[in-house]
Amino acid sequence: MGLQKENLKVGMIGIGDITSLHYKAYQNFEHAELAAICDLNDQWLQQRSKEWGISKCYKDYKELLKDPEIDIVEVNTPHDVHKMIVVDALDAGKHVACQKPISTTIADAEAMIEASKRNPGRFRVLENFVFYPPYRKAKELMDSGEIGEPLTVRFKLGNGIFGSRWVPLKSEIWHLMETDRGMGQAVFDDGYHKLSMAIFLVGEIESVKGFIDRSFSYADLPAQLIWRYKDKRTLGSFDIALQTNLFTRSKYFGADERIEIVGTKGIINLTRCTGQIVDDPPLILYKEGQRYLFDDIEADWQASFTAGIRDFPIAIKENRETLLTGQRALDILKFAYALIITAKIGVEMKPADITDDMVREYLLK
Amino acid sequence: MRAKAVKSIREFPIRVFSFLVIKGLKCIVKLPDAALIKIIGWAAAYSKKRNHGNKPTPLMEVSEMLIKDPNMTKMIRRFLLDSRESQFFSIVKGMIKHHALAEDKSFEIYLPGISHKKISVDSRQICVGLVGDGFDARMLHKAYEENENCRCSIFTEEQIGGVQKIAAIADGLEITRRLRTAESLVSSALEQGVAVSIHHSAIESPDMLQRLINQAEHTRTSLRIFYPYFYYPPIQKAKELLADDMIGEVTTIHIRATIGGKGGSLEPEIPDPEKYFDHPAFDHFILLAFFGGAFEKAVSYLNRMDPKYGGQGLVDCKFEYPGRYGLLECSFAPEMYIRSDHYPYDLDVEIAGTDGILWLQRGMAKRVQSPPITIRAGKQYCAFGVGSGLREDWEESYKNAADHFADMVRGNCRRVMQNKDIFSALELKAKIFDVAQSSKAVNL
Repeated sequence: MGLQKENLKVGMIGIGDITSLHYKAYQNFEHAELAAICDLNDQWLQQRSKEWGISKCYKDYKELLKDPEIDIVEVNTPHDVHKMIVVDALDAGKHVACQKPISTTIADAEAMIEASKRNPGRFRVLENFVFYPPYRKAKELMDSGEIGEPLTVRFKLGNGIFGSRWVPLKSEIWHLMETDRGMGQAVFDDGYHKLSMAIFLVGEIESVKGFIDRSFSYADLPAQLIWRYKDKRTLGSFDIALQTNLFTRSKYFGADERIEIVGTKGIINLTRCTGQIVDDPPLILYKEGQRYLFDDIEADWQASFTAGIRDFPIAIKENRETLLTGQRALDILKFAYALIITAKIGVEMKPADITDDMVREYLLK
Repeated sequence: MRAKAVKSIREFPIRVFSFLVIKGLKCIVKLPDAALIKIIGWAAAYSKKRNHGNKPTPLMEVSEMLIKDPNMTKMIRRFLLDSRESQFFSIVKGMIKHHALAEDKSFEIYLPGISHKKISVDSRQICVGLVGDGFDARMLHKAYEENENCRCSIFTEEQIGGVQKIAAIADGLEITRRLRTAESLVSSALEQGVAVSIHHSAIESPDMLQRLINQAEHTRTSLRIFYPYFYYPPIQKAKELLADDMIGEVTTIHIRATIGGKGGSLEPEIPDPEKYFDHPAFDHFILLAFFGGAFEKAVSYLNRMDPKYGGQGLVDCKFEYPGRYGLLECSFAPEMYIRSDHYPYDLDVEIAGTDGILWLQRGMAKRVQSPPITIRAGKQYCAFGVGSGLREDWEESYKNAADHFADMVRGNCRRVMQNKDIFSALELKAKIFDVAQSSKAVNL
């Protein structure tokens, strides 16, 4: 299992665009190293092998799982095949870090959680936003009572197509077509990050209401979604705008992501993450009539990947639970489906009550 | 007016070209698969020739995908043919305006703001009878007093109720708050040919408004619904900028209204724990409709507003206008300091459109001292504040409102909002607690 090892060895299954950010996180990292890669695409495999200097390359993930040197398996494949690989990897005695979203069905997610319970390896589902330094700082400020009790938390997302195009169009189209499979890029896929943050910042979700439109047949936006937290007075909202022509500066995706948290004493504004549309510092705290600008804070999106990916090997070594457990990922999955279903049928939904039958009944028929 | 006309003439070719692009694309995608693939292939080859970057252009990628999977033609057809016409037009127009023709840099511009309109004195001063005693009454009274075209007398509800002939003492009647006898007072004034301005909070129901409108039409007398935000220069400017297509077609509108506990020169009025949408800081359904039009349906979560610990409510709505949504977020933060010359009531509006975003960060309070309006559209950043001569003091609302009413009394009626949209706002307000109780989206 490698718990005592100095340097844990990582095998990466699925080496698409996003994994170039994962790769960077393993560079100059003392606790783990990327030792093997696996992908069905031969050309891609050769390219990455050369680019990253990885000699161990597999086409069949089962071969990678047989490699005794590998301690951690990163699963970065399309989400509907996560279950098969994650369960096999856990059963093979590996620690598993899976890319969000955990799966497309609740049954698959539960099967992965179950597999992690019966095996010694740890399982987590990576969602990088909760490791983004300005967001971590905001959470710290909230926890230390700087803005008092949070009254509302608002997430804003708008995708501009000018300013950045980091991923190939093919990948964008694949995401857009998820809408026809009951999911959708804005709420289910990209939205996963915001929903994860919604839980990270405040807590469990009690119920949801709202609207999701459909633009250009495939895009699940604009949308306006609201929720109530469980056992807390805070209310949350997620506002997704169609702002196609807004130039959004980014090295990654042209996503305008902003968060506003209004508390009884003050307000926190987070103005950046993947993209940037205003020349404000990433974090602004308003308190007692003053604005405190947090300029000296790492705000590059890569930092969230670096911190998020590195947290897993460290957690393994420290024998502690990771922040993003399988159960947390399942909660986010249900939250996302609750939002999509409530928008589709116009009835309030409770994420805890969501089942695969409901997803089939309301979204796939 | 001249600048508007010039702008409109300048944009005419863009509109025509956008229209032709859309029509052309729609014709092309209706061609048989083979022809469509061929045309995209030609376009891809052309874009490849002009492409100097490392990455393939979108057209090259589409062409490659079509070669690998000819079924992709179905997706392209659906994408282009099933899209909402106005949205598609707005996006193509924005692409041409903000990207194809725009300079490749961010810059700030300052445009002229709204000037405070003065009416020429062409007759005797107008006499306004003002009923009410709250904040709005005081502000309006001051505005009328300072207006050279008006005189203003204050009456109590009982005093005005006892007057035999309102027309003998006033040319216009300004009702500034909810009154027990508001409807009969307005009715009596209209009957006598006295123009009436009635505070929006005094309209108890859409039915009441309908009766008053019927009577105003019957007596051919002016009637206005007074809502101070209509007259606040930054809000007027924002509305003007939206009408000028600064951010393209509006898709989402977010209004956050926060009542602070300190920071104002006046102590905040504590919202009723259960019925807080009567509170002037939260009663913004009209503002939402002012920017977005009539509502189609709504959902809501409303918490109790605790006088000591505060509270919050969210109203989420779908507008009748296709593809447009809004959120009214109300929070009562008793420990929050909000700097204000009046009450510590913060207003923050964000309106997103296909080309960009407009932020309005001002109202009665001045929590932040950045420009009242900022816009990011395409590659541009614009600010409207001191450099543009835009007035931001809350008193300006009342000065403009007094001018407007004086104009109305003289028979020059300027409509600021469609009746239908006001009705819709009143209906949503009337139903809001039922909406929050309901587990279903409520149709309006």
